[in-house]
Amino acid sequence: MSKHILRFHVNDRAVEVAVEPWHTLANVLRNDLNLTGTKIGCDMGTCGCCTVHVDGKARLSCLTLALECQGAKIATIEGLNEYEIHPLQRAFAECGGSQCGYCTPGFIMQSCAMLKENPDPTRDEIKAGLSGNLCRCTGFMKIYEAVERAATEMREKPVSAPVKA
Amino acid sequence: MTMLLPKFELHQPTTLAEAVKLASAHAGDFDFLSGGTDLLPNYKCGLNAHGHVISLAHIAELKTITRDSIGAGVRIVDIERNADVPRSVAFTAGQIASPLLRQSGTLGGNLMLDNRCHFFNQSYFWRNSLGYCLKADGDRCHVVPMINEGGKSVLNNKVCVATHSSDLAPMLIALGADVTFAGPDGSRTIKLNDFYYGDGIARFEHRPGEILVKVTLPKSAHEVRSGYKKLAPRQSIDFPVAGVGIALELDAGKVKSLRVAVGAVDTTPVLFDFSKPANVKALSSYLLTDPYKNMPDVMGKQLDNALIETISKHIQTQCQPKLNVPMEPGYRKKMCGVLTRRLLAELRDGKTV
Repeated sequence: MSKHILRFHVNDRAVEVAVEPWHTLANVLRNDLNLTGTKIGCDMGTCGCCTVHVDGKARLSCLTLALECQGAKIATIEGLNEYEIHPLQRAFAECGGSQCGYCTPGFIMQSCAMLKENPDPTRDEIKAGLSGNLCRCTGFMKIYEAVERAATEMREKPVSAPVKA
Repeated sequence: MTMLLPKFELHQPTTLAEAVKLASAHAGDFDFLSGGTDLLPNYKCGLNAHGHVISLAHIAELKTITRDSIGAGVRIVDIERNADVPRSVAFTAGQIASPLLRQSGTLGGNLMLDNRCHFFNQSYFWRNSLGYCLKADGDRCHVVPMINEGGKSVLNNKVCVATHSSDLAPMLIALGADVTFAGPDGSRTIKLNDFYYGDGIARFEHRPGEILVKVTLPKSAHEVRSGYKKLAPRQSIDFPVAGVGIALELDAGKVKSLRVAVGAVDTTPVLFDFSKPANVKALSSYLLTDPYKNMPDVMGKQLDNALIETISKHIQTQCQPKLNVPMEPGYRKKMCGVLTRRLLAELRDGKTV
């Protein structure tokens, strides 16, 4: 058992890092690449805090082995938008969709993936889409409002720098 | 909270033949990994971890999905959104866990899900304090501590009653699906229902080193009235605590064939095949559900409310949930009947999912 070289793209940058076979993507992002925006909540796949994009699809990084992402394109909350705040981030802040903030990166990454597939979701579709993410502060209503507001904004004025990966 | 995975060697074969060869080379000390949504949480709790993990995620042969067959490596989200598979199967796939878990999880993983129990799915520390359980590291069952053996009450160190909590398994069993395996001795195809067998540890009739390749649906799966109803503490994320899948054929309101499969109440999904109650495998233990005991004859009878009541009563009576997953066994037992009654009425009246 030895470390293996993992070559992949994180937030549009080529990265090469030596990882153990039993390290999850969340471990590597946080510990090896210092991208601590991705949070680890339950570490069992039930809270959604660790959501990142793997090849454009929202995935739980705590249940993805790092070596399974060989050659993949990863996007984390840090790479959502490099030059200006992303409409989702602004909407979460303005609507009070983020209180302690621990679940927020997961919610934003999942919302972002959801809005890419369905730019105009109904309240029920938002609820269903975010049903794998848990928030213990807001009571969810403010989060749904934030996603609705961001969806409207993103339809009217698409994000200037496209979401990475 | 970060939970460390135990140390293992990861193998990433790209063909089925290669994976079978790796499985033979590491016989007895490996696990297959597909989506990782079931295996990795169990590994994090130190549950029966092995030294080698063989990833099936890069094998293209497992990823085809057509009208009649679904590859074992197809992600659940792709079944949910596929327009060609029977509506009931797509609907059932959409009932599994949460959108994020469906994005990672695969059909094969859902069918081969490890059984669940309050005394099994716990951290190493938790299990250590209780002296472990039959399914992992220990030698006794805490759910059914004593069993009757030859008229005497003895310590249960034989039968594990952990619950099989798959959603797709009951639906596919009701539809009469076949499963195909590739193994060191070539490939074989069996009925999905025959594949599930035994207690919470044995679970399958699975030969060492075999890989589930695909699930094949019979032609009738597209024609029968079918549906699934799930009972779970929450609408999302949770495993079912009872799930009923039904495939029903009616001929002018009369029952032509009826297959009801109930999941998450026993160590395997339980099939109540009202069409042909004979020729059934002997049960491994009296602790497990016996679907054919006192089975009412419903064939050719008008499917009115009274008959639906008889059928659901039979299912409620025979199901034997144990106190090892959320919600009380008595409530779950009753809900098996209720879900069957509601679903049968919906299917009779032509309501579709």
